[in-house]
Amino acid sequence: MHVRETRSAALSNWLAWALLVAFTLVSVTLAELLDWRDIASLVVFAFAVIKGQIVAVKFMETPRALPMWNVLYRIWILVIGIVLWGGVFLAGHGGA
Amino acid sequence: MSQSGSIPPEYTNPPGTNGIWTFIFIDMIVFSLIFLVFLSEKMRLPAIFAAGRAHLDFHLALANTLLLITSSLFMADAVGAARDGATGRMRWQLRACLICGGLFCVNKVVEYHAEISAGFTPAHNSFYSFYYFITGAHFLHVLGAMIFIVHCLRQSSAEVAHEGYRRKLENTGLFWHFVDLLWIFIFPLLYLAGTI
Repeated sequence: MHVRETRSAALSNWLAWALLVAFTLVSVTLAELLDWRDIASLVVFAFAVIKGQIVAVKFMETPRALPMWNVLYRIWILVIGIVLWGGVFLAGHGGA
Repeated sequence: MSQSGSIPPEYTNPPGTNGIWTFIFIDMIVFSLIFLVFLSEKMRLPAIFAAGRAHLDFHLALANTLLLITSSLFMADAVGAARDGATGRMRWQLRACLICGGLFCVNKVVEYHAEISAGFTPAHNSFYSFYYFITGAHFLHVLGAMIFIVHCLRQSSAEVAHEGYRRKLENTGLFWHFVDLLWIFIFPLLYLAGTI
């Protein structure tokens, strides 16, 4: 049972890694190819938020930490993603 | 009723210590402030920031992103191995994590050398001041985390069976994942945000 749990955790980590790599490569491809830059920047930072959530949940194991940390860390990832996208969007349109 | 009786079972043995979760969160706030100042300057000087980004080596940064993601996988597996008491597996995972971290550092030094050789020093303009400050602060975090990983590796043979060692490794792992988390946002902000 214990070995099965360990293998399951290792598989889960590999799946998380594969998703992180896939999101990174898709982000880079979109940034290079997509002409519509507002949509591209939104997708790139949305992917960054998803990647951050994967790192927090699967690697940092925030759901196993005290609930306060789980909430604070995951909210930070969401908020920083939105703020960074907002800043890049405004800069791309001549500033605030 | 004891205090532990009121805590749900999944929270009775959380990863790492409360101190490291607090420390990382404070570091998150500090980096948030740095990002905000960067964005305000980017909004003030969009042309300079777009031109600066165009000179950066995007391919090295992509390689560094993949290296940090992969190192996080090795670190997560190392923590899992330590919980299983599998010392050998834990040690090679930590070594693999260190190799990825080392390659990240080599890439970063190559990138800095190329930029400085081309005349793009921190004094060149506002973009480069932020570029060196943000990536430099992140680089120091990587180096600091690697020192802790080496420390965990050195003590692994003697202490792996102890609860304290597992906690120490979990703390190191959490910090390493935080370094990865920061880079996940630094990469699009510095290297992609001029193209999009």
